[in-house]
Amino acid sequence: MLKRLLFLFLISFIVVPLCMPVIFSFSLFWQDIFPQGFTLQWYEAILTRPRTYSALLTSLVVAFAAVSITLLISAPAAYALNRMDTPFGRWIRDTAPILTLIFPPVTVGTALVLAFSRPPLMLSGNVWMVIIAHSLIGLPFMFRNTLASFRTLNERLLSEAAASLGANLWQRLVYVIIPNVMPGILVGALVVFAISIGEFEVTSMVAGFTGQTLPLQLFQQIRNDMRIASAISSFLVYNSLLSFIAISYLSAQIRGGPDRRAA
Amino acid sequence: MKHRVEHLFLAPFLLFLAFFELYPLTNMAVRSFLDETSQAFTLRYYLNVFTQPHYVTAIRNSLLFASACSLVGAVAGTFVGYIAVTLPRNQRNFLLSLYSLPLTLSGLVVAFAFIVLLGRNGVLNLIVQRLFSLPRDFYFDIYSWPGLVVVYSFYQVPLMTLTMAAVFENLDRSLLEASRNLGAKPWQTWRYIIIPILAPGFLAGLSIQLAGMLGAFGTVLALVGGAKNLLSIQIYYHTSESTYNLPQAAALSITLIILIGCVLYALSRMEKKLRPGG
Amino acid sequence: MGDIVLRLNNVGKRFGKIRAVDGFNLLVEQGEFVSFLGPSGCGKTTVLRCIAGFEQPDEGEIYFRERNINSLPPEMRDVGMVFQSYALFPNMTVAENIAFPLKIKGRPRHERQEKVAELLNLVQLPGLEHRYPSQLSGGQQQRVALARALAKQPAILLLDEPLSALDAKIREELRNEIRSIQKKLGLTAIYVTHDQEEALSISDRVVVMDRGVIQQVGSPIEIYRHPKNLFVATFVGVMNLFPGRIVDKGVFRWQSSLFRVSNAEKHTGHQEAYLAVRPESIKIFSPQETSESLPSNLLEGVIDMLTFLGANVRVTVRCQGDFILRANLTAEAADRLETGQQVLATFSPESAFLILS
Repeated sequence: MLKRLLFLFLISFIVVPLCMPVIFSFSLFWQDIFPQGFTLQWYEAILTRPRTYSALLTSLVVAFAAVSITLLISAPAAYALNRMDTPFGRWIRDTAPILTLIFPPVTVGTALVLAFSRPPLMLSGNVWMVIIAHSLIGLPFMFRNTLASFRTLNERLLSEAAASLGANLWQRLVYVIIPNVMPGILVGALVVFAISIGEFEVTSMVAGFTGQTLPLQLFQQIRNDMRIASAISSFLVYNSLLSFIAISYLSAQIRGGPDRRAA
Repeated sequence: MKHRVEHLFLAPFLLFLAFFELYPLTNMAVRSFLDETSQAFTLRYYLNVFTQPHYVTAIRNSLLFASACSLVGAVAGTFVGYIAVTLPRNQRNFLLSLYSLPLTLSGLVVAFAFIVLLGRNGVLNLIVQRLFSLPRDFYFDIYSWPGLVVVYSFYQVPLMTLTMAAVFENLDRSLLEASRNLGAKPWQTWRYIIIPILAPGFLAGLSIQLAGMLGAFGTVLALVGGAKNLLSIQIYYHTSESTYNLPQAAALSITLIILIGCVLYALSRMEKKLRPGG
Repeated sequence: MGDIVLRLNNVGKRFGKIRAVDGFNLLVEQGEFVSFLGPSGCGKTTVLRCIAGFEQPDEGEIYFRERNINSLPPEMRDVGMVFQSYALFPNMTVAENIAFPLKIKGRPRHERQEKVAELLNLVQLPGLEHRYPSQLSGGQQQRVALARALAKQPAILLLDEPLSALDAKIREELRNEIRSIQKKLGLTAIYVTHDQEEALSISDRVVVMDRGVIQQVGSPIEIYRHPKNLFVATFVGVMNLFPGRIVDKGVFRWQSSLFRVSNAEKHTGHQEAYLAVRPESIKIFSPQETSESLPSNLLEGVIDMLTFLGANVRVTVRCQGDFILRANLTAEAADRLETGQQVLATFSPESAFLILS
C-alpha cells in the first residue's frame, strides 16, 4: 500500500507539472484553483499570429536540419570508432558523449557568437547558426545512441560473417549493418529532435531576426500573455511526450530483438 | 589495411567538431586575453572576474546553487533509483522511461509549469492556503533560491534516478546473499558491501549533476530574469543582452569551463580511488 | 598425396609486442578435416582469421590452390566461416540468413529457396525457414550458421570453436553431425578448438599449438600415443611423467628405480628425459596378490584417492618422493581397492615411451 502511494507520488512528480500547461491551454481562464471553460483559441493563435506561426515553421526546419546533420556525421563516425582500438579512438569514444558536459551550451553559444559574428564568417544572427548550435548540442546524444547500437549489435562480428559470405563493404552496410542499427539511430534522432524543438538558451544567444524559433516566442509570451505561452508550452510537451512514447517502443524492440517484428 | 576506407567515415564528424566547436572555443580563449579595441594582450577581463564583486558573487552563487541542486538531486535520485528497482518490472520500466522525459523538455516549459503550480497565485499555493486558512502572503516562493532548487529538482532527480537505477540493477544479488550467509547484519551489508559498490556510480552521477548545473540557466532566466546572479547568467547577459561585452563574456566562459573541469577532474579522481583496484 | 587446397608458408603475426603466431607451416589436402588444438591465446584462432582474411599475416604467405591470397579481401576468398557466437544476422529470418551468400551472388529467388530447403534438411532443421535467430536455441542457431556457410559452397570450411558456447550433450551431437556432413560433401575443413577430446574425435589430422608455435602435427592416434614433447603430452589427455635420465639402451632411471622401455633404441646416451605412461596403461594390485613372477617396472605406493568416473575409476597413488601416479581402472578392477591401502603399480615396457627434456 505504502509502495503504491510512493509509486503514484513518483509518477505525479513528473506528470503533474506536465499537465499544467496542457490544462491551461484548453481553459478560457485560470485564476483560481480550478480552470474555467474550454477553448482551442490559444492553439489557434499560434497558427494565426504571423510571428508564432513563422517561429513554428523555423523550429521545425531547424529541428529536421539538426537531426539530419547529427545523423549524417555521427553514424559513420560511430561505425568507424567502434572498430578503432587505438588510444585516439578510445579517447574520442569517451569524450564525444560528454562534450556538452565539459563545454556547457552557454559557453559554446558565446564562442559561436565570437567566432562567427564578423566577416568572412558572418553566420551569427541567422537561422544557419541556430542549426549549427542545435547540432552541437544534439551531437553527443546522437553519437552516444549510434555508438551504443553498434556496440550491442556486435557489428564487427556480423560484418566479418557477412564478409566471409561474400559481401563487400557496401553490401554489408545495406543488408546487415544499417537495418540492425536503425532502431538505435532513430532513438538518437528523436532525442535530438525533441531537444532542438525546445532549445532556448543558446538559440537566444545566436539567433537574429531570421532565427526566431518557437521557444523564443514562448520566452516573450511568458511575460506577456500566459495563455499563448500555455499553448506553445503544451505543444512542446506533446512533442516530448510523442518522442518519449516512440523511444519506449523502439527500446522495447531493441531489447526484445527482431522476433517482435515477426510476431 | 582494409579498414582504411572506413576511417574516412570519421572525417565529417571530426571536421564538424573542429570547425564549430574547437575553433570557436580556442578563438574565445584567445579573445579573452585581447583588449577589444586595441587588440593588445590584457589580463583585464580575468582581473575583473576575480575582483569585481558581482562576478565574485556570481561564481560563489553558481557553486552554491549547483551544489545544492546536485545534492538534492543525488540524494533523492539515489532513493528513487533504489525504489525503482524494487518495483515490479512493468512499473519500473514505466517509471524509468517517464523519468527520461525531462532530459528533452525545454527549460521554458518547466518554468511555465512551475509558475502555474507554485507561483504567487500557483494552484498548489492556493490549495494549501485554503486548506489551512493561511493568509494570502503565505506562499512557497519559487523565485527564491530554495524555490529554484525545487524547480531544478524536476531535472536533477530524474537524471540521478536513471544513473542509480542502472547501478542498483547491476548490483549482484549473490553478493548480498554471500554477505548474509557469512553472518553480516543488514547494516553491515550496507556498510561493507552495498555502499562501497554504489559509491563510484554515485560519484559519476554527482559529477554529471554538478557539471550540468554549473552551466544551466534557462529556467532561472525564464523565472527571475537577471535577478539571481549566476555565472552562466552573467555570460548570457554579456553575450546577448544590454550589458553586451564579448571579451568579458569570453573570460567568464573560460572561467566556467575551468571550474567545471576542476569539478569533473576532482570527482573522477575520487571515483577512481573508490573503484576496486583503482 | 591428394590435391593441396591450402598452403601456409612460414606465417607469422604480431599484435604489438606479442607474437601471436610464429613460423606456421601447413599443407591441407582436399577433403581433409584438420583441427587446430591448443590453450586459449595459443594463436590458433589468429591463424584461422588469417586464412579467412580478417587478419593480415606480418610474415609468410598463404596459398590457395597455389595462388597467393595474402592481399585478397575476405569477401573474395573461397572460404566459409562458422563463428563461436553464431553471428547470425538478427534482422533476417533463418531462410534469409542461409540465402544471404546466394543473394550477394545475385542468384534467382527460386534457386535460393531450393537451396535453403535442401540445406535445412542437411542440418536437420526443416521447416524453420521463417523463424528469427532470437527464436532459436543455441544449437539450432549454430546449425543455421553452418547451413549459411555451406550455402556459399566454399572450398574450405573454417570453424572457430563452433561448439564451445553449447551444452555438453548438444556439443557431442553436433560434433558428430559436422563430421558426417563434412564427409558426405567431401569438404575440406579447418576446425579450431581448445577441447582435446573434440579435436581427437573429429579430425583426420590435429595441429597442436602453444604460444604461437606448432608443437606437433599428426593423426589423432599419433598425437595421443606418441606426443613429441612435454607440452603435447600434458595437454592432450592425462599423462604420468617420470623425470629422470636414460642410463642405457631402453633403460631409464627414476629416483632409485630402473624402468625398461621398448622402442627406445634410438636414445642411447645418458640424457635427461621424461618417461611417459598413460593412466590406462598402469595396472594396480595389492602386495598379497603378487605371486611368483614379479613384473618389471614396479612402483610402491599408497592409494590417495579413488575417483568414480562412470565406466572407469581414477586411482591416485602416492609413490616414493611424493610422486603422484594416476591410473585408470575398470570399475570391477577398482572394487577391491580402498583409500590408504598399500599397493603396487606396474606398466609394460611397450606402453611407456621417452620424451627428451
